[in-house]
Amino acid sequence: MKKAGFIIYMLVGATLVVSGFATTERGLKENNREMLYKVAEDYEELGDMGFKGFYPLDYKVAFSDSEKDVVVSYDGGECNYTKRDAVYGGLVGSIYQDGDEFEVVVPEYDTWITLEAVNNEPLSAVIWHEGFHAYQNSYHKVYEKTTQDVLSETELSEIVDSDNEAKRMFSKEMEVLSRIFTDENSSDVNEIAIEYSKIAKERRGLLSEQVAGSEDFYLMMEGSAYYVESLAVRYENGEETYQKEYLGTASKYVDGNAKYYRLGMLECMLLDKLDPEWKNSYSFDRTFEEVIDDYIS
Amino acid sequence: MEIVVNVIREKIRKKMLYVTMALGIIVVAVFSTDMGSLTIGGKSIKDYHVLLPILINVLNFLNGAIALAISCSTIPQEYERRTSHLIWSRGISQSRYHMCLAAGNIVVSWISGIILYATLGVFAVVNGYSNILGRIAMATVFMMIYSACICMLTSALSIRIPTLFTGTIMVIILVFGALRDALKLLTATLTGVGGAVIKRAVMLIPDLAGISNQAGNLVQEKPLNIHVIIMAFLVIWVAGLLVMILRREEA
Repeated sequence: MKKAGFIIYMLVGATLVVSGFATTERGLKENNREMLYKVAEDYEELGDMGFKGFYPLDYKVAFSDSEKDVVVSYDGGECNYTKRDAVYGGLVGSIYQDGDEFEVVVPEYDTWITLEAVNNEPLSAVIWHEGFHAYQNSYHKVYEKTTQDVLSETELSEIVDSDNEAKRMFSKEMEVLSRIFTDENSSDVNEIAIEYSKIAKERRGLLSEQVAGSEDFYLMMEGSAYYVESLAVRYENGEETYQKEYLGTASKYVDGNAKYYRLGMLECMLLDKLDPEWKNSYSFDRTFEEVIDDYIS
Repeated sequence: MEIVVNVIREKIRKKMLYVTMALGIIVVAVFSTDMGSLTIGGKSIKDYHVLLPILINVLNFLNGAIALAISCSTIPQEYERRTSHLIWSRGISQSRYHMCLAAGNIVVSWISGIILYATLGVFAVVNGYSNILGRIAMATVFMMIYSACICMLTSALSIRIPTLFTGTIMVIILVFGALRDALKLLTATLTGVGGAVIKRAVMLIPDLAGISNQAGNLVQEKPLNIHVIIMAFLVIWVAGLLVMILRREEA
């Protein structure tokens, strides 16, 4: 009897082990797949957001657990995937160049979900953001076109954040641009654009050519990607989240690189007000400040 | 059976059980009435459908703490009081004896968990959410799995390890298991050999957060992750096996 009981217990254990193996998700996990469907669904409503030829799922998306990547090609609802060693260590949202192709690299949904609870940024929005970088570099060849020596975001922030006057004026730029959505009576967008342009030029005079050029680069690259991300979050999580997480922080200067994301987004929003069609002719070969100047001159 | 009943009788006399249960009831009462509210992202959460998964996580954790506290000293005390010798004289094997003691602890933790969940149910009705009573009842199954994991692991460790160490190890397992999602995020940022080792160590911690999340999914009518449930049963099974095969030298 005792022996029979032990055998039954071992059989239960064997069943659990087999079931455990059988239910382990291998390859592309279901909740990661769902994220791609979500982006495809968003796209049906949001389209290319005015950036001709932009579709985040035109690029392969790699879900990384920081040891292995599952690289997915999305094709009209079908997900084909391959596995490889992770191209980046740690928690990363970025792009990766594999030959001529740019790929989106994001954390797995299971890892991201804890962060999402804090920052209200769904993983699908990260795919929109990084997908936009892949687009900038595939469609507009931004990296190839960049001739000057761009400082890393860390180096740039260290220089700018230690210059009090540059900081003060950067904050002023953010405040001025924020008026396009905080000031109900901001009927004259041109006035805002003129004031912004004036401060931006004055501030530029404080910086070396390399620092100013690097700032322009990040405002264009990251600012526009953040703008795209904000519109995706607005669609997915609603107006309240958009107001709080994006507009609510847009005018706040913070040390580090986030300020370039914010100011770049504000520049895009200003351009939307100046001319909703501005993106039609934009190909990431000019700074946003130059484009704004076109409308006020 | 008699041993199980004795354990239940003894445990329900302990004050600690009632203090922890009272704490759980207060938590539910505070967040289910106007006395307090959960605020996430500047928004006060009053919708019981949103509040429930959070309260389930808290209640499961508290009930896990009860399960730990009652299981930690049960087996060592039996040996200290030499009750074990009376049992041997009746020809009951150590395996069976240990299993009965662990089972008694599990039943007590289930009773306290059911009382906590009943409180949750009462406040759901008071707040006009009587339609989710069935789902709360179903969610108690996950509370049972959760506390069975803790009781079995604690019982297994307590056979050979001193009570203080058992308690310390189990508190770490309980806290880390309840925060496993956050740990996963944290370890995702680690690189190198050390990072790989830590990631694997985290994988060994029972996914208690996952069990509570399945209860939350159930009440929110989201799909369940069967793998998490199977792995929880596997933890109980392994701990049960240890309870049966580990022996005390005093016997």
